[in-house]
Amino acid sequence: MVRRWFWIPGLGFLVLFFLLPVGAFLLQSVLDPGPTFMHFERLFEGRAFWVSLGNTFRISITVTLICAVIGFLIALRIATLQRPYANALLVLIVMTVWISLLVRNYAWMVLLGREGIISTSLVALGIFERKTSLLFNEAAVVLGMVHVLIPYMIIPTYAAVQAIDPALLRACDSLGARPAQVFSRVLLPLSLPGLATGCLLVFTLSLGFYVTPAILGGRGQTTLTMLMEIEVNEQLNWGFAAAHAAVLIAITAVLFFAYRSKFGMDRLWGQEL
Amino acid sequence: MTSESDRSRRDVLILGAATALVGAGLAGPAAAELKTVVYNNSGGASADAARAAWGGLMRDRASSNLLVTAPASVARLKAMIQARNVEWDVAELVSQEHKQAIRESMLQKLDLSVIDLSHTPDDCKDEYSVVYALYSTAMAYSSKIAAAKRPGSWAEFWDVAKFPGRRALRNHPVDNLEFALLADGVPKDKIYPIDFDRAFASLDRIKKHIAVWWRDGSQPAQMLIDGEVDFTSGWHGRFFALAQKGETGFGVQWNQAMLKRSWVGVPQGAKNPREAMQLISFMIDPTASAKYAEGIGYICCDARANNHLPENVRPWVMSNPAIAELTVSANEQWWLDNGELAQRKWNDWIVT
Repeated sequence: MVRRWFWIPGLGFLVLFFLLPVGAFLLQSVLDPGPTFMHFERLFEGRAFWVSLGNTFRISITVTLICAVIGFLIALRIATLQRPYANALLVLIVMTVWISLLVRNYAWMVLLGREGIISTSLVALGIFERKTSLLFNEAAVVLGMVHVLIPYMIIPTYAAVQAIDPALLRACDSLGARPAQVFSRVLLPLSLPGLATGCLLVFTLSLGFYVTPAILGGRGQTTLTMLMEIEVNEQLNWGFAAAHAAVLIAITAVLFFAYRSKFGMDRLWGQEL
Repeated sequence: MTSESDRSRRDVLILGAATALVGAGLAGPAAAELKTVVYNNSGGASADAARAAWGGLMRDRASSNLLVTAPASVARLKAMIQARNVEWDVAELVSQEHKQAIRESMLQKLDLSVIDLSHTPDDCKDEYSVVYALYSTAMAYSSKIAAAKRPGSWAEFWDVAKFPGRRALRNHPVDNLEFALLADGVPKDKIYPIDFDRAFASLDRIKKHIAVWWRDGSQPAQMLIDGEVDFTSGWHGRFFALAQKGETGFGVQWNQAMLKRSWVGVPQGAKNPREAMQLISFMIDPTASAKYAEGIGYICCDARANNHLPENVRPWVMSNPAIAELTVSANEQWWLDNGELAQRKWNDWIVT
């Protein structure tokens, strides 16, 4: 009976290389140096934590919504293509994930800078009066993150969209549905599970983003991960850093379980929709 | 929708798996007949300078290959010691980090039979570590700004009316609290202990005029060259390295630069302690240290090293008397005792 034990290596790997180290790190939030709630007390009384928590969520929600709209449109378009074209496009989209995040973010620094092509072109066109830096603000951070995260939205959404039976659309046609109705009563509801999976992936990845807000953002885009980096790397205050992580993981877990109760877990693994 | 209903979800899963299988970069050091001694430092120009200055000495006199890794991180050192797998033989510890490392018993005592500390001033050495690089956090300006319009002090940097231009500072309390007090008129020998209220009140005045709060040491020089900002603080070695390459887009103002010290030590559990001690002896050797300075502009505390400097490097080292009298010495003990509190106050201040 293969099925009885086939999950053991996977589970063992997860426990050994994920649950144990993450658990040991999180425990430091209440055990460093001795049993204590000091780290959480200090976390909740500092202004930096609440403001960065707000920044983290505001940025993550914006990124997720923009990815959802753009990702859905791209997935719809790809699904209408002939298979070879669709495959080629999907490969291209996935390949962008192979390019280093740093490279892609620094590319935006070049493009959006005061002497960058966007600023200088806008001046040449007379839209800007003088060269202006478009960096170090929330729009730059959101742009950089959408660029990096959009494949995680397109792939699951596409999986849902391409599974829609074309006969349904023909039926809509023959029954005289207007395009808006086809969209709102057939396409969107049937794509929703894939879209929800994409949103969950993009949102949770956004919560943990560090590099993009750090290099494209200003002080108004200070995120929780940036505070954690300082505590881990500079202050050596791992208990305090673990408290940050515990809060972020707790919030992510709540969202994850909310998703599960609404859509079921199997969607995330890509089993039958 | 595609009418090919046989289009399997497996295609999609394979794509998804490909998405997940990224970033597994494989890099292994090439096998060598010589011993490999690992020196962990700040990376970039300082890594190149380290290889050029000490690589040959390590091969000839210690039968070792010098492998330089980065970045300098006392946090990683702590993690390696806890995991009982110390990869570094020599660790760079910037400013008060060496005190942190000593406090947490991360370092071995220096082997004085190998390392000659007799020419190193007392404030540049202790039982466990020694200063190998004097450097500074200095103000730099874009060459496009006319000479009369370049700030000559932190008070002038704060004066946005008289010295218009886009400004950048590091997103960090270190150095900035000192700059804020200097800007507010505190004499340079009265900075410590830092008065937080006064420093942050002074920072409040400049806050909205700072276009960029930089985080990475490579940013300041790059931002000046790119025209992103006109004035910024920055580590002088980065400016030096680019200036040596012929870059003329910026200049450095030495007045009121913060003089900093970078230390080296041998971690507990280092695999090649003997060779590590030899490496440290080269790092504070006058000739070899001058050679290092040619690459990065940082030099050891032994005054004799200055005699070995080429003419074009001399105006860049902190042991040059003409520069030394302009700089302000950072107080490592104050930062060791107050760094955590300063960071917390800074975090609360910077986000609003």
